[in-house]
Amino acid sequence: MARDSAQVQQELHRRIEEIRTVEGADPARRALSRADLVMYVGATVLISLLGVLVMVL
Amino acid sequence: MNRPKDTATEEIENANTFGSLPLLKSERVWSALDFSWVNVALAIATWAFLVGGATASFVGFQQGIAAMIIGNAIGLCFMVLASTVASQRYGVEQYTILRPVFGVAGVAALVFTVVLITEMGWSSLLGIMVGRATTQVAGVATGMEFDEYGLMVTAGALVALAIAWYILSRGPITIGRLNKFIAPGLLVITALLMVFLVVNTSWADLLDAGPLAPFDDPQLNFMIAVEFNVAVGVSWYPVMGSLARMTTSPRAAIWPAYGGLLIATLLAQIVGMGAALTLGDSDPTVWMIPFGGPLLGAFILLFICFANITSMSSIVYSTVLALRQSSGELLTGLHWKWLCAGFFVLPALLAFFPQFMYERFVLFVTLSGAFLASMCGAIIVDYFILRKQHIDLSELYAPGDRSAYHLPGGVNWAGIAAVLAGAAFYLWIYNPVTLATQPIFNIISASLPAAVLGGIVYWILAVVLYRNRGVGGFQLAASHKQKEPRS
Repeated sequence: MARDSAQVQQELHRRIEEIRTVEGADPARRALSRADLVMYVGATVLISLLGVLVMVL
Repeated sequence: MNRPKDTATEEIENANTFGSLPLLKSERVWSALDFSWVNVALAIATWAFLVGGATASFVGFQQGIAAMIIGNAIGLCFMVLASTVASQRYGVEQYTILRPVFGVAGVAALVFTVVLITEMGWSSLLGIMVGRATTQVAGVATGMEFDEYGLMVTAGALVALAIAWYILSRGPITIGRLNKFIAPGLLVITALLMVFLVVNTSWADLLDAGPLAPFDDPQLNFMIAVEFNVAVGVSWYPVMGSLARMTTSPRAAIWPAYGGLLIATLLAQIVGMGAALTLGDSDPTVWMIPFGGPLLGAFILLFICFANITSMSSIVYSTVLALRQSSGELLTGLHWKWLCAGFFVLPALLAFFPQFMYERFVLFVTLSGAFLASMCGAIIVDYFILRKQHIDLSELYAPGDRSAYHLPGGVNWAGIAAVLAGAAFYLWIYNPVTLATQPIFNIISASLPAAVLGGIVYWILAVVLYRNRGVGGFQLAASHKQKEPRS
């Protein structure tokens, strides 16, 4: 970070603060829920099974 | 009077363009639909035809579709989790957010080896493909036959690399403008090729067509095809996170990245495989003219040249950004266009060996997949399990030992050991050079176990070496866990 100018450093801190405070509760900043993760991995398993089905049929 | 203010604004804009700053809500503008299109445009690029053709070397049509579905589904699954989720949440460029996993110096080491070699290889291949395409078109135009790996191919590749450099040196806006024409064009071409495939070939012919250059063992052929496609899915890693940070929500990041890449890749790959099986050659630049006729075939080839050049610009942009971000003070003083020029030196040298690059295509993709899969395993364990999806931005951007994520020497040895162990395990299960395999390869391929082992090694070493000693910023996750809302 030493390479960045004072202005860039200042902007960086401003943004971090805004993300932490103003945007902290925004849905865009939320962690991925367990349900989403399960659905995501489940979809992968189903698609892989579809691949197996294509091979078998 | 306004001069100092303008300079400051310009510096901040530059820092933002080059990924030095986290993005704010107002700058994250891609909805799920927007990001889906971005991914479709990336995936439907000409390399998908090449991958489809290469898959046809090992398996027939039906097994090929199965291998593509299974391989891409698995590869994309852990690639998307490792690359998009954290970058999306914090709006941070993906190599910056890797610092806790590998350390500042560790990220630089991986970017300058695994990522750089992967992207240089792809750039070189795309350049050579342009050279081969222009040679084919020249053959049609003059009625002469040219050497398929001759000097004309090298010359075409070098011109393609030079144009890609020119586009790249003008910045991301030019790349974005060109992609607006290229992506729909490639969609039309894929649809056209699909029509040709249906018209020129019967379903029975496709199902009966044998693989182009298989090995003796059918099970091995199928698993090599699966593994190759897993590696193709994983090979999106170097560019995905920095794109996902532009999206508006976690769901708008993971589902379009996964679904967009999967569906578009499968469509283009199946067309490429079908054409390759029908015409007996895995290279789209060879089968395009017999397939589409001299006029349309030549037109499509010229469009493919153009598309390859913009695809090259897109992937090289992300890679040069990563090089710049992870090099510390080393490359930041270098002008953007010279940094881009430096990237193209090795691909330009490789363009003098077109046959070597084309014939080693599968090997190159598979080997890079071994390292990228292991990286993904370590990243997933770090972010989802050990840090419980929490990164402290102030600490992430704090310089040197003022950061809670700082480790001695700037290297997280748990991360580096995980990548090396995972890659070594991969090469033990399946050595793409000698084709020596372990029995497990025929059941679950090599990338998945390599990613799992990479994750386990990281988990154990990170806990023993760092978390239990209160270093590496792992304690930050526990202290923030209860404050965070979940979607």
